[in-house]
Amino acid sequence: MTGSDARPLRVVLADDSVLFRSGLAHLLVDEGFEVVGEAGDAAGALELVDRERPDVALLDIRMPPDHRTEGLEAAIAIRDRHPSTAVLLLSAHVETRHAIRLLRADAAGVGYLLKDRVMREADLLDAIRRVASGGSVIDPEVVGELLGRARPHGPLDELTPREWDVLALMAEGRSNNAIAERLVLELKTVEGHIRTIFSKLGLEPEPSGHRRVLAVLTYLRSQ
Amino acid sequence: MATAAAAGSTPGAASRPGRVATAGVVAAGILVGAICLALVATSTNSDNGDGHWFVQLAANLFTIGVGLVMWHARPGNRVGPLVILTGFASTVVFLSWAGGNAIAWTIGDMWNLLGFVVLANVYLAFPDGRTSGWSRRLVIAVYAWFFVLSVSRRLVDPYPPSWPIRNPLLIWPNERLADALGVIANVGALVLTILVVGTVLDRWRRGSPVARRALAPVFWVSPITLVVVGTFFVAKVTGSDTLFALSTGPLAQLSNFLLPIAFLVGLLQTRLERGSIADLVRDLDGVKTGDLEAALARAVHDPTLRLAFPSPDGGGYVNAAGGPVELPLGNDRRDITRIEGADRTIAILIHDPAVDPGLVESAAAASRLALENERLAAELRAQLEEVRASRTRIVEATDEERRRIERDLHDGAQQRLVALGFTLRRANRRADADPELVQLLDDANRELEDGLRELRALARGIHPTALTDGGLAPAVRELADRFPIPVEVDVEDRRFATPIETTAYFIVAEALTNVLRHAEATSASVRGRFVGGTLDLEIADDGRGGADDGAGGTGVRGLADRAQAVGGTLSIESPPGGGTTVRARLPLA
Repeated sequence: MTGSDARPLRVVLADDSVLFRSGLAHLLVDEGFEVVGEAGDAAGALELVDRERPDVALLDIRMPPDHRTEGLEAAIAIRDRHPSTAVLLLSAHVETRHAIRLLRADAAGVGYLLKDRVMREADLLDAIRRVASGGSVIDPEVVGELLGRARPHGPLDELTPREWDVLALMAEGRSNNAIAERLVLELKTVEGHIRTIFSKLGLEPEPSGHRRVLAVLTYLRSQ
Repeated sequence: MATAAAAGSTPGAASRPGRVATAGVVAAGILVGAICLALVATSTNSDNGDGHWFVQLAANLFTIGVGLVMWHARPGNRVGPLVILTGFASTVVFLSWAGGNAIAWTIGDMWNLLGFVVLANVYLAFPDGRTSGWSRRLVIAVYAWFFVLSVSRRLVDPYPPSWPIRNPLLIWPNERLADALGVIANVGALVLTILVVGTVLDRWRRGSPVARRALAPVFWVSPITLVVVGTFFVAKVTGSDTLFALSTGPLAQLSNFLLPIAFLVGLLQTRLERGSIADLVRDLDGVKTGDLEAALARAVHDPTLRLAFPSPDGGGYVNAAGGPVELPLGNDRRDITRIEGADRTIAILIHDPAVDPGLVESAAAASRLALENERLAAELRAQLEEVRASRTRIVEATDEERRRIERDLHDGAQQRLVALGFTLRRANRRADADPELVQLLDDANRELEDGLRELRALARGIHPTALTDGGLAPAVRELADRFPIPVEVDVEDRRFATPIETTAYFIVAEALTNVLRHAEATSASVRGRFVGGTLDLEIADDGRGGADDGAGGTGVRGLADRAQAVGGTLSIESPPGGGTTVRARLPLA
């Protein structure tokens, strides 16, 4: 299912759990990806990426030695050194600030996915392909948590349920086409909704996909 | 009842002189008096008519009597016996009235200054009856000078041929040597007298007020004695009969009577201060240990008084501040008085030996309760400190344990469950032909996802990763993000020590949980400020208030416990209808 591309996507995996790594590797190979290397920590992942120049690097956020945010730092470094390598960060917990930090460093070609998501095969593969093609991916659960936040009465309350759905999909990093497809709407209608949302929230319209994600997330977080 | 006993270098000497001893001294005095009277009465000397010998005998017996009174007043103080001895020693001169008996006359003449020598000892031992160091050496020097020179001179001194008696001690007649020894004796006497006077003056200069109080009467009378002694020596050296008569005349008699009285009055000075005990009892009401030492020092007029407590760990002694205290050795010019409790020594007073033991005992008895209280309070403080420290350790260990459990859940169980998910997926791919199996595996996968979600929430509740990774501010923000009502977060974003961050986080989490449970609030706020070495937290809501920090349940109690475990404080303000504000102040160091 790697699409019509002649060349399979080349992927690097980094996670300190061998069990998880091998399971994920199996899955990706089954789906036609080429797993060009696996690493158990952030330094190893960086080395691999330097050497292999993969299309996508899948990194666990917590890795040895300190089990803090090594994966996040590595992701930022990779995007800095190898713009051609997209990064998908996997996290065991929903940590919105990590997602935002990653997007802020470089919103294009990065994604933040909850680790459990790998079991939803379709979601995972979709996310990998989207970051590989320069898109942004934010786990629906992160978005859900941001949208579900209790907040004082504000501009968000002015949104219609349909606009609310569009906002959520924008926050996940979906393109206008994808949103239209998902909500079974005309593209024009979606674009109209988006304009209304941005004006209701008092935001400058962001034409480009990944900058839009950051703008929306930042707005949601600040409210 | 308190038993306060003087304990020093003369243990056991505190008991009063018994009747036998008293009677013995009285009898000896009467006997010596009778002998002296007999000696004078039977004397062939021609100059016994002026009667000054009678006054002198009376003075000597008076001195013995005064010494006896002193001995009774201050048992254990050597000054009393020494004064008695002075009285007896001064009567030796009466032997020289036995003109016909060469041995008696020689002894009487040879030791006619024995009274002065013992008097020097009294001076050097006054007021506490003890000599040590320099003054002890001086006492020995005085006695040695006196006995060695007086006897050695007699061994070489041929009496003038005109005398009716011969020298019974003469073994090698040498008049010039005898004269030389006489000069040495006189010079030595002068030097020793100056040294004794200097030593006593020095004691005055360095003495505690209580010692000065005792020395004062003696100082008033001593100039007369000094004049008498000086005149006597000058008379001896110059051979002037006029001066000699002066040195044994009315002035000398006055000195002989006044001096024992001066010593007695000086010795009893401190005894007149019992009134200060009343002040002490009043002062001791609620006194602190540090002040107790000062109060005791005031009461017994000894600023050098120190208070020592048996060290809690069983070895040695400490002062109120906990610093080590050396107990004085027996020959220091310090005394110790133990204050005994029911089963152990409560405290030890280290003080000037000149302080009346009775006064110290009274002061000790008056302060025993305060001391016992103070000791118990100190013990309690130490235990409290230990409990506080152990609570901090327990809380820190608990937090560390939570961190470990969270990591174990994340690195262990969670990873395995995800791996299980991969396996289920592969099984699903192979089960294509069997729709029922596919359905079962899908169900299993969904169960697994739910399980993972619950596990994640559980791990986050045990210890949020945001706290470890990002510190207090991000952790509180994440907490607020998931909160069902709006929470405004304004927490300074900086890192603190792990125990402080953890404590602060759980206080916020617990306080917000309480807001949900009880407050019926529509919004809340969390504020965290770093101010002057403390982290000030404030968790407020707009709910119905009325939370009582006394009966507020285990939640509120737990918050305060949390804060106190790191040495902080916590307060709750919750007027009915006015919302609830929890304030915590945590020290960062």
